[in-house]
Amino acid sequence: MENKEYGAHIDFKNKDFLLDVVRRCQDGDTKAMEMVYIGYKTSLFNLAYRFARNYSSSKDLLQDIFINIFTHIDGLRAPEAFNSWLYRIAINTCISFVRQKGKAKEVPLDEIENIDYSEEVDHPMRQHLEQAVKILPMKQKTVFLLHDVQGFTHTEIAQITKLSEGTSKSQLFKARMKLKDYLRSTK
Amino acid sequence: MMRCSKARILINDHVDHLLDNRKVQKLEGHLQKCPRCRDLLAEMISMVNGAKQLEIIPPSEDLWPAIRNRIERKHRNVFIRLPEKRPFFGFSLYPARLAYAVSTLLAAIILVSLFYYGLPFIRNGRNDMSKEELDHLKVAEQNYQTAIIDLDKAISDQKAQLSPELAEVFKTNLGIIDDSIRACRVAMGQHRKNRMANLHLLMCYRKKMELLNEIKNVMMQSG
Repeated sequence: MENKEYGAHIDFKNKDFLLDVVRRCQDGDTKAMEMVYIGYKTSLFNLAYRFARNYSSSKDLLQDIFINIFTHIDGLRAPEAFNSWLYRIAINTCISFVRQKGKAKEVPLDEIENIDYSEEVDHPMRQHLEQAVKILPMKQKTVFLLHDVQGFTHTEIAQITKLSEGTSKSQLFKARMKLKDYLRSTK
Repeated sequence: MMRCSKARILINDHVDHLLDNRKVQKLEGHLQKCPRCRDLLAEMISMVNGAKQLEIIPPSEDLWPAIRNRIERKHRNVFIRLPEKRPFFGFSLYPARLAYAVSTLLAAIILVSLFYYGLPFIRNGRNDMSKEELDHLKVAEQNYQTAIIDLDKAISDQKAQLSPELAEVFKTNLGIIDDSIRACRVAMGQHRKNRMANLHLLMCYRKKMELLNEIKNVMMQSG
């Protein structure tokens, strides 16, 4: 994962350290849980934010993600696969959240984020892309966010999502084509 | 000449640097002749770069205490379900399987001792109980039976809450105790006043009651 520096101050790239923290989490050590939270909160929040439609829902979603992680961590039999396991829990929680919200109702206008377009001059693509991601079907959105935004490889995405690498590639291709069409239509 | 549909797939891989030199050359050959695919490549690169630069939004600082509280609440519930010590045949339930194994062993010892030590009394007719003692024992036996029926009723509706593994352990132990009770009754049928058989019978009832009580407790804690 050639990732953005989401949780740089805790070095989970050190596998022994990560394994130790995971095992301590499995023993119910809340200090170790807090380290996991600090290490992954920004990455998972950004993932949650792009599944949920606003900041407030993203906070609830992030809480649900970490609750699911820490209540199921004692069932993790291969702590060395923690990273992909964690993102799998996160993705599944996001998808459940979106399905529940989708069944309920449209997002009220006052909950929709006020997007600051002041940076549009510098990053026109970025602003439109943020909107465009919302139209993607769930599977394509998942692969797109993991690959293009979070920086996972197709091999890692296959481990997280249980899709094959080929499916991951094809979903990414479809997602990009759909986004490209959307972005063209907004020009 | 490469078709555009094929080129589009290669463009997708190309922006991720997944193509080998041979495919890159093929693609470049196509791109030189196809302006639409050239545009697509430019759009793809711009889009992928845009995705990498999507804003990193920091979560608010107040989330961890809320998460920790929820985790601790959940943990507390788990701890309530697993008390530190549960009396069961005078043993702690930790580790549970050991306690069940010991209880099974105890029941087996009851059964074996009944046959090896109880039967000589039957044969010899020694150490008989008086009529008064028998009456007392009969009352005790009825009390145990009533308690067992009540306990059995209490747990019968909730048996599905037990894990299959635990249910099997309890079933096996109950079966052993019931076998012991039957053996006692056989012995008493041959010699009603046999002290050892009567005392073993009461002990079996007590063990059955304790085991049913234990099942009830486990169900309450898991429910």
